[in-house]
Amino acid sequence: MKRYVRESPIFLGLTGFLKRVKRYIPGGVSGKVLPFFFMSPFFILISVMWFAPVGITTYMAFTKTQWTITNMQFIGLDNFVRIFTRDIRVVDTIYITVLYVSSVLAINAFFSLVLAIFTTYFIKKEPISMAIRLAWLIPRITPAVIYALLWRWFIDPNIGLLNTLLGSLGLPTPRDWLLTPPYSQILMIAVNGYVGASFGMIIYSAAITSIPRDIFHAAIADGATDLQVCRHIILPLLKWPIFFVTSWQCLSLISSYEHILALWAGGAGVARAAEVEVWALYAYSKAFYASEYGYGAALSIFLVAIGLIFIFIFFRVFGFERMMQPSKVEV
Amino acid sequence: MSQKPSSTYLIVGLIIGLIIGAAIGWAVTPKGVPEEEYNAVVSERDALRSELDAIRPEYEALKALVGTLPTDGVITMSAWSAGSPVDYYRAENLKRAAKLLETLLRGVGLNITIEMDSYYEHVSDWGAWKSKFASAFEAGEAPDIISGIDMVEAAEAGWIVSVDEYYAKYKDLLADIPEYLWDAVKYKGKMWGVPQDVASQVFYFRKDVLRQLGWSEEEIEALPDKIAKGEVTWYDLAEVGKEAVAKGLVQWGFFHRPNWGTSLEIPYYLAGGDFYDVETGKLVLDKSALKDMFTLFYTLAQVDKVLPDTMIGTSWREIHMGFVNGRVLFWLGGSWHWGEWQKVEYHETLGALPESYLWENVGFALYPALEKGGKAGVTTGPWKYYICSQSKYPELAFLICYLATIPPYDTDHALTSSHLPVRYSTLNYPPFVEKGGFLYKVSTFVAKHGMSKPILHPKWGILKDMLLEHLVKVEKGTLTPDEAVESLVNAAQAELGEELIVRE
Repeated sequence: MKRYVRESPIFLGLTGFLKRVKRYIPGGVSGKVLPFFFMSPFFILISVMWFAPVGITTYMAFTKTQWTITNMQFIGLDNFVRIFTRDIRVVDTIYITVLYVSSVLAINAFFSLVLAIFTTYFIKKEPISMAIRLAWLIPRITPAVIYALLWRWFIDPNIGLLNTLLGSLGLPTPRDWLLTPPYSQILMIAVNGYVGASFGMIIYSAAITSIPRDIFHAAIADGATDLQVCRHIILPLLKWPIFFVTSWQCLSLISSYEHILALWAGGAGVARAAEVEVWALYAYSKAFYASEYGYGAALSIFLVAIGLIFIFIFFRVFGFERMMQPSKVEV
Repeated sequence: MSQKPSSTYLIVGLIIGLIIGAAIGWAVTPKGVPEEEYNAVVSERDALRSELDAIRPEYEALKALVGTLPTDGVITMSAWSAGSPVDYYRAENLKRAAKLLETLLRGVGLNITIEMDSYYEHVSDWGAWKSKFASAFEAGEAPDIISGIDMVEAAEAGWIVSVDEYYAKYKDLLADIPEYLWDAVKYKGKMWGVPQDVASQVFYFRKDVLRQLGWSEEEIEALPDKIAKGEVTWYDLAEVGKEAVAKGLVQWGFFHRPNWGTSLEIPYYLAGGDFYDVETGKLVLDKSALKDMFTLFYTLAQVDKVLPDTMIGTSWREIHMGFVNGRVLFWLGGSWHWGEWQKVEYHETLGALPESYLWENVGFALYPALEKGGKAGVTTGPWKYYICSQSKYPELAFLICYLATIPPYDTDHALTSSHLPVRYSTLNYPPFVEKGGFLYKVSTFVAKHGMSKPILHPKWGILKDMLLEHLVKVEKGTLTPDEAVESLVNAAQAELGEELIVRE
């Protein structure tokens, strides 16, 4: 260790503090306790930010909590019974959620891969690759409300660019992308896909860049085409990044709704009429528009449960644990 | 004998003295204040006197507060108000009222300073406004005075307090506000708010387009009266809209609001429907009236094609610009839009419009009847200030809400926002008399045809969402009116159960 680090006041202070702590802990125990000591900020954070809300939400799901979240009245399983027996929106909402998650996931996990390969392998000039990647990053750095407003202008039936472009290409132009299914659902997928694709693109781009160039050169010297390089070198080496992006995006999409809320503003009825009300948005509407916090919590508990099931599948079935080991890109 | 000449001299001397005195007096007397200046001073004095007279009862009543408040110190209060771009006096008047109250309290011996932080927001998403307030409330940081949230929900949630106690205490002061407005703040036998202004829907039409269609001035001027008598119906106006569109004078015959609101409920009320049953306190769906309402919007959007089927979700700005620039013939609006068009630059060449332009080119009437000889009308109801349950000074908050509507303030808000004044006495307040021409006319037809339809049910928001969803589907042609009625009733029954009455 460098001398100036060893002699720095922070280092000296920290080691002195640890020695003092260790003095009070029996030798065998200290090795077990110290890791937890260092992990404590993380545990505190995750307890406050995740376990506590999930705990409160779970309890709230068994209560009639209306108007204010401090006014809870225990009602057992009534909210869950209502979901399965009386709520006529459940079937439609499940269908829309499955459509949303699967379609947007296809963009976020697989289209982003195409983008990454295209901008990292096929386009040799870095400024051009950079410009394309930047274009896909813009929605990520744009506030959700501004992003929704831009889409509103883009799809406006009278002055919007989209219909004009489609018309000039001789394509049929559905005037109303906002309210008419399936166009509204296509819009929902495009809006969320455009934001989400950049995440995968960055991960994949970094992974492709980290592949030693020699392998590409050797393959090309052996007569491999670019497509064969992609098929037999890039894709196998990106197995774990693809898996990571897919699982991460899947879990995110199950509980995401904010862009739909911003674009189909004006009350829950608008998103419902446009058939874009996903499960998470339905739970939000019940809690914050109808002030039925208890019922909204019961609806959202399903999302937590589904998320946990997916995590279990990722760990057990697809060998997620191996991905947590060092060397994400296996060369 | 010798006394006679001396008395004559005395009289003559006195007369001469009087003449000289009068002459000197005439010479030294100031020529007087010019008449205009004099009148201005007198009128200013009268105005001041009338303002003082207007608050004299308040002053007397405030003596009761002595002993209940600290004798000196600073009281910090806050208020959140909301509305359209021209409703900012809802906040400003609270600030002025706090200052006025401070002065009045000093008059009764309380050396208190009231620091009022009065916040105004132009709100278009009322759900977000409610969430913002709810979050502040949960954090214990709710303002003393709030407006723009649903009264029933707020009362059920415990966000606001009943004003019964203060209403009883200051009853004599409050008689100036019409009784039906106080009725609109009653829920479960208690009063929960203080009326601030009166909202009335207004059906607008473009006079210039009607002229281009060949209508005479007499015909145009007679239209509001014919609508009021039920001689001209929605469907007659749809024909006019079709003609105007066909001739290329306008792009659309009708525009309505982009989300659910009272103006969309009026055809339902005119068809005899109600959304709330006063006797049982339950929500109501009247299938026959629903069908009439959906049929109207279906006809306008899908049959006559004079209403865009994309109305819901359109931006407010696009809607106002459409009507103000003459691209739309009829607008299902409210009285406050008259004020908004004069303040916000919606017109593409003129910007904010002078009122003279509006009188020349825009007419207004009741919402028409659905059939010949049927009932035309508008809905009317108060905007309300509420006192939050977290307020440390609910009585002061009540008094501030009340003082925020004294005639001078009521007038400023009414003339700026084109909402109807909340007090009878404002109607006779000289500045209002001078400039309130539009509001006088609206008041006249509200007095004759206004319908007060408070819906005092905590789940009204859920039903509104369902109504909006089905209206969209009807206007898009996804559902026929009959299908929409069945679907809506089924969905509402499943969601609201026993809290809903369905009438055939």
